[in-house]
Formats: sequence, C-alpha cells, structure tokens
Amino acid sequence: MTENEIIYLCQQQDAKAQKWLYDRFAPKMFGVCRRYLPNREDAEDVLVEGMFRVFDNIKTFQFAGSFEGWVRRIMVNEALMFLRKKRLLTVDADASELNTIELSDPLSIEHELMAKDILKLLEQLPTGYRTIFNLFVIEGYKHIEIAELLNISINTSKSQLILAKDRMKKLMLNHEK
Amino acid sequence: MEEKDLFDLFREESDNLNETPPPAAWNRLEKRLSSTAKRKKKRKPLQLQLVLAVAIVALLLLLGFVSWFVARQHEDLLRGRREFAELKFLQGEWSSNDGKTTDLMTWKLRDSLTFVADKMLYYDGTLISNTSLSIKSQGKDNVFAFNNQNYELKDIKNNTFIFKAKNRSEIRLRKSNDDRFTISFGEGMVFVFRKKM
Repeated sequence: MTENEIIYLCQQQDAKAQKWLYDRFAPKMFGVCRRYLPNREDAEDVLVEGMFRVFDNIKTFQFAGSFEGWVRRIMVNEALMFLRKKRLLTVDADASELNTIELSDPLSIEHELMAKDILKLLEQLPTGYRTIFNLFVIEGYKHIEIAELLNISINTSKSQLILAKDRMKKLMLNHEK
Repeated sequence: MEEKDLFDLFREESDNLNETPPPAAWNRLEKRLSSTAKRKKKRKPLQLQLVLAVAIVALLLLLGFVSWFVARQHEDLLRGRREFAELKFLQGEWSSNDGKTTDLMTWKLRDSLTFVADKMLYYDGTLISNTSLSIKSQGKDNVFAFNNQNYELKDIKNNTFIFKAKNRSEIRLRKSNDDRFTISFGEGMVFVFRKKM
C-alpha cells in the first residue's frame, strides 16, 4: 500500500492506517520535538498533541505537497505553542552581546558531529537561541517567517541566530576538548 | 578532517535525529483518537445541522404565514358577512346589462336574511330560467341559491362578495357606491340591481 493510500484511509479514520502512519512518522517527529524541547516528557506531550492534530486535520491535506513536510510543520507549530504556553520562549532583543563577537571569524569548524552530539549541544542553548537555530538551520525557515512565527523583528531573529551560532561554536570547541 | 560550516554540519546530521518515542505515547494518542471518533459519530455533521436549522426556521415561517393568512381570511369573511347582513332591508329593481328595461324585481326578506327574486330571469332578452334567485343567510352561512346550486360566500374583495358552489362555478356580487349591485354569473351574464326609489 502506498503512503497516499494510507493517508486516504486515515482520512476515513481507519484505525489501522493511523497506527501505520504513526509508526512511520513518530520517530522522525519525536526527533523534531526533542530538538525544541530537551525534556523528554515535554517532547512526548508535544508529539502526542501534534500527531493528534495531524489525524484531526488530515482531511484538509490535499495531496499537493510533501506529507512529511505538512506533518513536520504541524509538529514545529505544536512545539512553539508548547514553549509559549509554558512561557519558556523568551527571545531577548538585546543585541549588546553582538559587539563581543568577532564577525569576521570564519563560522566554520573542523569537527565530526554525531546526531547525539547535536542534541546535547542544542540542550545547552537557551530556549530562544535554540528555537531560532532550529527554525533557521534545520527547518529552513527564512528570517521573515521566523519573525512572524515568534512575533519578533527580523533583526532580532538575525542577531539571535548569530549569537546562537557563536554560542554553539564555543560549546563545540569545549566539547572537542 | 574537512572544514565544514557549522550550519551544514547540523543540517547533515539532523536527519539522523530520529528517536523512537515511548510506547505510552501511542497509547495516549490512540485513546484520544478513539474518544474523538466516538464524539464525532454522535455529533451530526455540521452541514446536516445547518440544513435542519434552516428547515425548522422555514417551517416556522410557513406556519406563521399560514396562520396569519387564515386569520386574515377569517376576519375578512366575518367582515363580509357583517356587510352582507346589512343588505337585508334592501329593496331594489334589476335590469340586465344589455340596457333593456326589464321587469322590476322586488326583494323580499324571508326568514332572517333571505332575498328572493320572484320574477323570471332574462339575459340578452332571453328567458334563462324561471328559477327564483335568492340570497339567503341562515345562521352563520351566507348562501346564494341559483339553478339548484348553493353558492356560499367565500370571500370579499374590493366591495365584491364572492360566492362559490361545489361545482366550482362562481357568482360575484359587487356593491358600488351608488347603491347598485352587480351580480356576475361566470362570464357575460351580468345583472345590475338598483336600489328601489
């Protein structure tokens, strides 16, 4: 059975198809949740809520684009909503720290990064940095989209990303040592 | 080791961040899905609810209109009967509408409200019938008897009393301002009654 056929069955609220779809996407989406929420229980809550929204709104999926992309967007929104609800998402607009960064520094690094290292490094970032880093680097959102999503200015999004990158670089160097 | 951009390092490795969620997550999700499915089954679809609501409103409007219309008809009929009853003391003469002078007809009051034309009826100078023409009112019913048919007062519009028989034929009696009464029997047969001086 193809993925589209499974999706069609899910639109008819077929329980077996729902399980199949969950098994197919849950590991990937749990990974997404973990990147935004270091706490495993929180990530699990977001995964359950997000997947529920996926099944609840699956009738609106028009088979026009990537289903995985559609699910991922729901999951990211759910993670952001969770952070807002718990008041964990505070993006500091103060860019004074930017002055301490040597912008001419090459932001490249000689390092072999493993998946588990990524999670560890992300966990050490403040929530605001982590969120913008995730949205820009991994999700591929543009600064204007991040600004709209987080209700911040484009410049704040940009400066927070630079700070996040700098912090990440330092963390990686420490990690290497 | 190759020097890579930090962002690229993350992008490359982010696909490997898959992590199997605890089995409890599926159990929780399954419970929520099944309870929502049950609720959805119980709840009628929104479109159906909307159609039902519109149908109920339309039905109520229709009932309201029908009851208003019936009440108005009833009121008109009562008013017609009252006006019709006022005719009981009328004495008049009649002529056909072809302008020929015809016999005088005297209206007599019989019983409580009965008008009888004793003379024979002519139309276009031809004897139509020697049936007596009578307008009766017996209790609540206003009946105009003609040619062995009972014409019952059904409506009153623009000073015209409309009588209908069971065979659906219709007689109209119109009251004009100059105390004349016109009686129409279907098409072409019209009699005009004038108040006797």
